[in-house]
Amino acid sequence: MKVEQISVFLENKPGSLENVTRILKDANINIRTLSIADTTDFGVLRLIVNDVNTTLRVLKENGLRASKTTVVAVEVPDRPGGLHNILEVLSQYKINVEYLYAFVEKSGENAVIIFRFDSPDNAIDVLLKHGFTVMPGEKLYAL
Amino acid sequence: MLIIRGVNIFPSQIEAVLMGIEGLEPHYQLIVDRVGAMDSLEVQVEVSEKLFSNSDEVRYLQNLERRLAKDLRDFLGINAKVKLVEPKSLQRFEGKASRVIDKRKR
Repeated sequence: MKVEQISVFLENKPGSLENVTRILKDANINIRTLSIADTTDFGVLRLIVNDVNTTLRVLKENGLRASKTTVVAVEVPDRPGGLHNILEVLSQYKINVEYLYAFVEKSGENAVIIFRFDSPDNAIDVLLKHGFTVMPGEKLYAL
Repeated sequence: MLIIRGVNIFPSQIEAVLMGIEGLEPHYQLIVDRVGAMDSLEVQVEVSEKLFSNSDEVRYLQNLERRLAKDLRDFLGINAKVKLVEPKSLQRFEGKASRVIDKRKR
């Protein structure tokens, strides 16, 4: 039920990100969605890719600091309230969202929201109990 | 030995403070400069595998920078800017002297 996101530590300077995208392009990796958290000196690039293990391997081989982080993907109809309905339930259970990012599926019907929780297992339990569609990694990577 | 704002500092002392923080590896570099009349010190530390596997959250990494800066202040009496950097961006040094880049003139 969980998803493996690739996180990469990057110094905040020109070329940092291009270095990563070149490595991924050369390894024929397709990025499903991504986000960057920025600070003055560094950023953390977060990627959902179609091949987690290869991505991790090639980034490390190229001397980058990369790791896997467990996140949760929730599929919702692409309509107003989609995100709010999820957050309402999470707040009820006092589950904190560390970060999130989202994208719309190719079909156009649904959106997928990627959440980082301190306790993914707990969050998944709550979300499933309330009828939300939690998308497992295998399905997400292949979208 | 370096003298920064009148305080005597050995790079090995900074290394010791670094080693005191869980997850940090002693791959570091010191940049000493002078801004106006004031000496400045920047401690650049590589992000280790262990550290980054622990958490990818910005607040965790920034807390680490703050913690290191605080420890340097508390243990050595110096106010340094701490900057996490990518791995292998810092040369591997043989002797300790070359871990320091002193940009101050004269």
